[in-house]
Amino acid sequence: MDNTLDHKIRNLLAIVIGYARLMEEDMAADDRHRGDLQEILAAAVAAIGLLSAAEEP
Amino acid sequence: MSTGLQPEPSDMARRLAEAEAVIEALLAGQIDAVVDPAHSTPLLLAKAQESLRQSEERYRHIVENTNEGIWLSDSTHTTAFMNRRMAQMLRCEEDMGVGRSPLTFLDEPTKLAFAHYPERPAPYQSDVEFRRTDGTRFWGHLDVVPMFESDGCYAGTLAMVRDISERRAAELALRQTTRDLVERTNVLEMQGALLKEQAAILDLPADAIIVRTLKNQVAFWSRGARGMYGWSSAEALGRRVEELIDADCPETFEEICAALFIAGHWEGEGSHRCKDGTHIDVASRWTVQRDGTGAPVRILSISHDISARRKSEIERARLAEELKRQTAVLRETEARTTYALSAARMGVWEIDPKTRLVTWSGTMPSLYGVTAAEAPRSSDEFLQLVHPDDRVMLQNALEAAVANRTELRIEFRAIWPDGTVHWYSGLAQVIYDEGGTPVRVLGVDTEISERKSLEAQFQQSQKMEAVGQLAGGVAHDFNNLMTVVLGYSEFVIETLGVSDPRRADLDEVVRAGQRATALTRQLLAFSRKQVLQPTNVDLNALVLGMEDMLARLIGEDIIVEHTLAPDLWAVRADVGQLEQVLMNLTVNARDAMPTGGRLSFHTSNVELEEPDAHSFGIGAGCYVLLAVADNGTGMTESVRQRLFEPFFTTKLPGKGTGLGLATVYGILKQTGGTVSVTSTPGAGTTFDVYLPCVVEGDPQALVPAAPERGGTSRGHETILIVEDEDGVRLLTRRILEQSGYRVFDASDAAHAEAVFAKHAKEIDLLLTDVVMPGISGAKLFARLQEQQPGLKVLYLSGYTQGAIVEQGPLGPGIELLQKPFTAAALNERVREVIEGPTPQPAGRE
Repeated sequence: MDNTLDHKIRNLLAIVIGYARLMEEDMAADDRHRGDLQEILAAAVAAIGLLSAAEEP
Repeated sequence: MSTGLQPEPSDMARRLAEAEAVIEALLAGQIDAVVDPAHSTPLLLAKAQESLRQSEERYRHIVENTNEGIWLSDSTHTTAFMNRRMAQMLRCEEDMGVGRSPLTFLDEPTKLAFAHYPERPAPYQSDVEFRRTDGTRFWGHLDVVPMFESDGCYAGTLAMVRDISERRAAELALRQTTRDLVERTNVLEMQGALLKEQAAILDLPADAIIVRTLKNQVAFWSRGARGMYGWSSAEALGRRVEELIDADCPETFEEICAALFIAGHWEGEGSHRCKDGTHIDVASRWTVQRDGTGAPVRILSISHDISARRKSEIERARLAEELKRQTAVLRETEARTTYALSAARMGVWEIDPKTRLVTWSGTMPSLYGVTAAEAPRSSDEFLQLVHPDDRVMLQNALEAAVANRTELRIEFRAIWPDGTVHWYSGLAQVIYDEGGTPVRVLGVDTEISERKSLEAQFQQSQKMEAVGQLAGGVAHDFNNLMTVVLGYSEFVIETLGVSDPRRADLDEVVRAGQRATALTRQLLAFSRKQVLQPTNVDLNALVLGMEDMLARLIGEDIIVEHTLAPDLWAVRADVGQLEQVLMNLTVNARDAMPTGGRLSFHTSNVELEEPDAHSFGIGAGCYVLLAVADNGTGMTESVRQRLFEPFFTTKLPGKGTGLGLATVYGILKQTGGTVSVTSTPGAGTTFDVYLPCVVEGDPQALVPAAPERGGTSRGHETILIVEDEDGVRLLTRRILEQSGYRVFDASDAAHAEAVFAKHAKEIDLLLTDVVMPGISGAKLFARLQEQQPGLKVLYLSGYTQGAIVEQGPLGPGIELLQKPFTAAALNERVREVIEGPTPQPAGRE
């Protein structure tokens, strides 16, 4: 994938992950939203992994 | 003589002889007298005297009456006597000459002959020309007898002159005649020789000389005729000529004769048959022989065998025709070559390495955008046409080719007088003389600008394809992940209070996720990997429907104008994609007018024909033209050429992705249309969008542009979800269940069919991914629809590289929801499909 686009998407995913982790840190252990938040984080991390895999020759 | 005697003649002669003897004796003094006894007188003397007188008288009579001139001169050459005849001849009196020298009557040359005559007197005879007293002349035969005294002394001369003028004239005439005869003889001899030569010539074996009668019978048959026709003279003589020759002549013998007798000659050519049956080509000349009255008596013909000449003429004509044909072929070939060179944008050139003079073929000037008069004359002048950046390279390459005896192959640029840059391929060969000195460089230049452009397009296409494949491969999974991110974000947001401080953070998450999703979607768009849902679209309605949205996008500094054709044809396109095109072009125009300006939308119907359509990269046919024009900053040619290249941007870093116009290009290409750009720096830019019009008779109704979607998104129906991505499947199920639906889910088609087999009557909607392991979503629906015709379907699409793309867009009435989707979008589309008509059987089994 083009470096520019890759860079842009990575930045956006970084935003997703960043805010999601902030929320997770602030969230109580039994918060009912924790599961959803973890799904978000897992999906965003997987997306970054996807981009990295695409860069490999 | 009269003596009174009547003697007998014989006695008379005797007596006369006796008398003469007596006289002679008396004169000689031998006797003194003759006495007559009867008269006692010297009778005989008297008689002798009488006889003498009579004799003198007789002689005088003779002298005076002779026809010859008698001229007596004394020893001093003084005329003593001339008779009458002499005087007559001299046309003077008889005594006129007496006392004068006879020489006075002679010409000077004759005088010389007599100059010494007295000293050597001797008989002399000669023809002498005398001069008369009146000055005239006559010829006389001079017979000179010298006279001597009894003592032997020269006494004088007796000259007898006979006028021989007539004889002389006759002799002269005879002599002249003789001379004439000699001359004529000579002439005749010459003529004879000439005739012999002519005869020899006429009898040359090469020519046939035939003399024929007026009845066309052979009177003479030359050796040449025998050689030419094979008939001997003996065989030919007397026979009619047509029996021997059988000439193939358009004119009959009578017709030829008619012309011959008038003109005196006739010439013609024809084919003659020989004795052996062969035919020869002959050129003949006929002449007519006439008698003294001018009447024709014979015909002479001289015929020459021109078979070789005719053959040569035929061969020459054939060669001329062949030459003409080859010339025509050559010209045609030359014309074709010129045309081919011109069509192929090729030209031939030659450089003299010594003088550096350049020779161009006729196609070269147009190749370089100059006129023939502007064509360079030297290699230095040619280099001025070459792009400055390529001159050194070209010159070095040429010098290297000459030095290394290698072929020159090079690509370079030239700048036309109008400033445009063109690409050329140069191929050249150096020609050397026997000494190894380069004598000329022959080359061919080909303009390859189009090829270069195509190469660039191809490279861009490959780049786009590579990017598209890469993006497509990532996009499917990426969209699934984004679906999860956005879906769960919505769940959380819905449960958070309006004042919850975490809501702002979550909004950032959603915004970032949506932007990442948009990027991926654009990537799919320009790589033409999206699933299209083409419908018949009223482009005017679409433009007007987006007016408010676009106005907010561009701001108040830009005035928007519409010039929309009232009878605009419908176009066949995906509405959502057209909205994307309009939005991207509008954003591009906005960015080109940072201080405001004018943005116009113009629609019209156009019919593109070849080669215009080909130049746009689309087929001939009916199109709707949407022109989006701004009066902004415009762009340079180099920018324009790269405008649709993915990731190409003129914006500052971070301000643009370089995918906006690439997306436009991709969408339009996938739709079957195209886009072209015209731009002038400082004056603005116009994008001409061509969209294929709806084929007449298409049963589909026009789809309203930007349809309003709304209403309740909750339901109670039963939905079967088929999604191989667990995260998406579970999220989807959760959204739908929260909206009141009853949901079954399956991770693949086989599992779905198993579920459907149990709950077919209960399931109202199949919500399935398009691409799944095993069979596709479309095939799954087809199978299930066979079991329950009233089943409805909504496809979910992330990446569509699989069967759907290969088989074309989804069929009419098939609904598609692009991943990633929001909960609201999912509920809205589910509701629409459930409440909408039942789709027709797909028939894709």
